[in-house]
Amino acid sequence: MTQQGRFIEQDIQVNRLIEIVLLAVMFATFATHISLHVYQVVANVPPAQRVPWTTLAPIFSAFAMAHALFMLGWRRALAFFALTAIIAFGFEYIGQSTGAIFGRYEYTDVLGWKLFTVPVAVLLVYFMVIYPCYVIANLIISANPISQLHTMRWILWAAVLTAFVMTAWDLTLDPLMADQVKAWVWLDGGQYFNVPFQNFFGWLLTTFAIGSAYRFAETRLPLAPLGRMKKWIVILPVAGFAALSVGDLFIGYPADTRVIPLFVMGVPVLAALLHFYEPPDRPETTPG
Amino acid sequence: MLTVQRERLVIGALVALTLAGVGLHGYQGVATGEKPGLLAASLIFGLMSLGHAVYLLGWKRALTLFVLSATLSYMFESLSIATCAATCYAYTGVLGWKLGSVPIAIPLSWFTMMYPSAIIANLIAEGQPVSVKGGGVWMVFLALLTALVMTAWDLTLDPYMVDKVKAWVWLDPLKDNYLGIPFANYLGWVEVVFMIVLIYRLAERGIEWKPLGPATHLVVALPLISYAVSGLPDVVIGVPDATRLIAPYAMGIPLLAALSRYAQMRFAPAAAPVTTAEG
Repeated sequence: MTQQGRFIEQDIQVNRLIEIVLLAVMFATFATHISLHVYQVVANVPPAQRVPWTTLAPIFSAFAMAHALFMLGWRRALAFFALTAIIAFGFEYIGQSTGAIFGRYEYTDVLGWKLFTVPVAVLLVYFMVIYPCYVIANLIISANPISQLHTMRWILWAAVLTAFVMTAWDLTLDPLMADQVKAWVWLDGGQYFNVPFQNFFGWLLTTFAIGSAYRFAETRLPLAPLGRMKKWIVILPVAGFAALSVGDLFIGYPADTRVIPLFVMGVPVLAALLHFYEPPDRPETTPG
Repeated sequence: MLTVQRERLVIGALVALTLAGVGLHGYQGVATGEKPGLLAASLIFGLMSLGHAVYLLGWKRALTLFVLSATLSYMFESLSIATCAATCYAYTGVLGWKLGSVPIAIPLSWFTMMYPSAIIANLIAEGQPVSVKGGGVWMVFLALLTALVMTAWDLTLDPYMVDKVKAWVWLDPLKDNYLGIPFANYLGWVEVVFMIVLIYRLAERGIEWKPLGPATHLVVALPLISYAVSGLPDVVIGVPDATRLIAPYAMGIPLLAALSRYAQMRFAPAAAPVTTAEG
């Protein structure tokens, strides 16, 4: 491992063709993702007419998948995606049938194709958001985008942090999706801008289950990156996650939620990004 | 450095103050379902923050931080009340004795929360409670992080103090606001904390760092506890209801992030071996 190996080995053997293809996919999907979110803010698109998630989800989940393949290798990337889709489907299916996990809700037809009662776009959204949250949690804990601590305790802790960072995003997402986009309906309303508190417990539970399942699986799967990592490549998922809610500072719905992402998303994103800057030591910092 | 006995005495006093603060919040919360008065809470945790700063930084740095944060926050508050620069507000009589237009509890509580917020930011950024890294960019990063960590507290505090305690009133909250609080308030908080921390960090460079003892896990835990206790009970007692959900993310995420590094903390540079004689 070289010195820059703070992020990952630079001198690994990779297939140049695969590396270039993955970089191209990442670049194209990331640029589209950012453009769509910038466009919504600049054009001040009314809440009910935002770019549909049937467009946003495939784009950013393709980015997340390409990034995971690049950084973790195909086994870990596919395991991450498969575990996310299966566990999220289980929680959503049971949650919707019984009302016991998120509270009582129903998906409308706004999010497109469904697998039984759960829109496929929802499963993609789980993956495309939990992947950057996994990277952010790793950066916060170990200053490295790839998990470094594999004891039971750290796996569970990292999964808790990931769950909180991801659910924080739903503080601005859910009121908009339920009230305006009408992607789902809360049958009993709720105390958080018409969303029930239980929804957020459900999110914590679901994302914790996914995060810990993947982190356990990861310890048995080889780390075999398909590309050579660089700082700016690590920053992409963090920036892409931030882009999901930077717009909410200006056009969030309801207006009350506009200050929330500055803190609940700003702190984890800043905490993760700090590690890309290597500050000099101060001469005077030895205690007298 | 102090003798071992005196060091234990100082740490014991800090622990006692922390427990007193936790007890006050706990008792009020359980007995009445309310937050304790801002003045009482700030006095106890403020004294803890000040004593803790003396222990970790030495009395010169601690006093610098205290004086800077109390006077600058007082000045900013007085100025913004007088000029309505960003938005108009006024304190009622609820918070007690005032100095001009600002209750004395206010600058005190700025210091009380700014100190643990800075410790949390340092832990997140450098894995230890005292920042030893330099450079302008890093200072700006840390000041911004401290500002966000501290202002996160106000997401639950401000609506509570306005709706329930009626400690101050917003005179023109506009149509778009956060649970009745103008957005300008939050920008104002972030700016003021950012400025104070940056000024402190610049001032600190010329002042000797003389900790009284090592930054052990016990010592570093105390400000984390005071930060947590000052806001997390809102999960149960927050007003209005929406803030009950916001508290665990706004204040919980910085705490989780800081604890992640706290758990890996080796003895910080402040942790030179304790000398047996007066040093």
